[in-house]
Amino acid sequence: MKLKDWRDVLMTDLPEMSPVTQEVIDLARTQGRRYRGSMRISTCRVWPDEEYEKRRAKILSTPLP
Amino acid sequence: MRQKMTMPPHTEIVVPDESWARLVEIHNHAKSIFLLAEEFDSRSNDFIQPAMELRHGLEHIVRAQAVILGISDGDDEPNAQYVLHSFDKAIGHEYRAFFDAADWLSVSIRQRINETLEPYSHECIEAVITDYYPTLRPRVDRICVEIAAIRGAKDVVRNTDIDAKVGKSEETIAEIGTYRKIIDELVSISERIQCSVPSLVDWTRKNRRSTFKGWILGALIGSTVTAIITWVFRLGSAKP
Repeated sequence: MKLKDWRDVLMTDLPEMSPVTQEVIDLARTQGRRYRGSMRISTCRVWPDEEYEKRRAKILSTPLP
Repeated sequence: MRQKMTMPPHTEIVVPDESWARLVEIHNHAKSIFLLAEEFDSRSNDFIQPAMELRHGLEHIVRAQAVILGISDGDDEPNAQYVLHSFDKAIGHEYRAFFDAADWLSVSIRQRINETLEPYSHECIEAVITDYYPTLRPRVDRICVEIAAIRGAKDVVRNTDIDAKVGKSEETIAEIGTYRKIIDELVSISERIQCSVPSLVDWTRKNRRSTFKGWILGALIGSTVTAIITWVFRLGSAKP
């Protein structure tokens, strides 16, 4: 695989994001120390897609007191 | 060694100030909702989707700027049109980011309201937050449903809604402005409920005391009445 020139990737679409699963989060945790961005992301405090949707559906379907 | 970049000559394409102004406004609406949603999240977790939409928005701005600078040509469109379309698409992604963050925030607020009010009786809530049942509760329900519906519709047409936004950035910004007000309302309802917690605790304590007093009084009256009835019955049945 060859690194392309920056001009060649100007109109190339970014890769579509794959679903955030617990497996992805666990994998990312092993690389967290090397990441210098958001603290939450570097410590993998991220909602997995499936869990987020489940929690969302549960909260929205629970009637308010 | 760093490669020297040779800049091609600039084109004559100019992005109207209104396009930039709309982009700046919508981006900061999305950003402020995102920041607040991070604060409100019950587990202090992050939600990746809005950030991904912002990344796609940036991509369209960079592409437009590349065409303006003459570094590249637009896809199949004339360059000037491509630049404006790219801006509209960037606004479309910001719009998605806004609603992803708004949905995340509204869910977190609803959860917080639920957890705050759960320990208190309906009677207590009704007495302390007088407009909760007639106004606030239905309002929270309606806001959550509206935002969820927009996000749901956006998911269904995931790849066509951005194209649908092209040329409609003014409408998009108006819609965002409306929902921004709705989110502000939701946040203020949540704050009002949080501020009512001391009064809810106070009401419950007082009510418990008065219930206890009532129970003691009831017991005293009951035992007195029983004693009198017993005494009268004994008097009546006593042999002369």
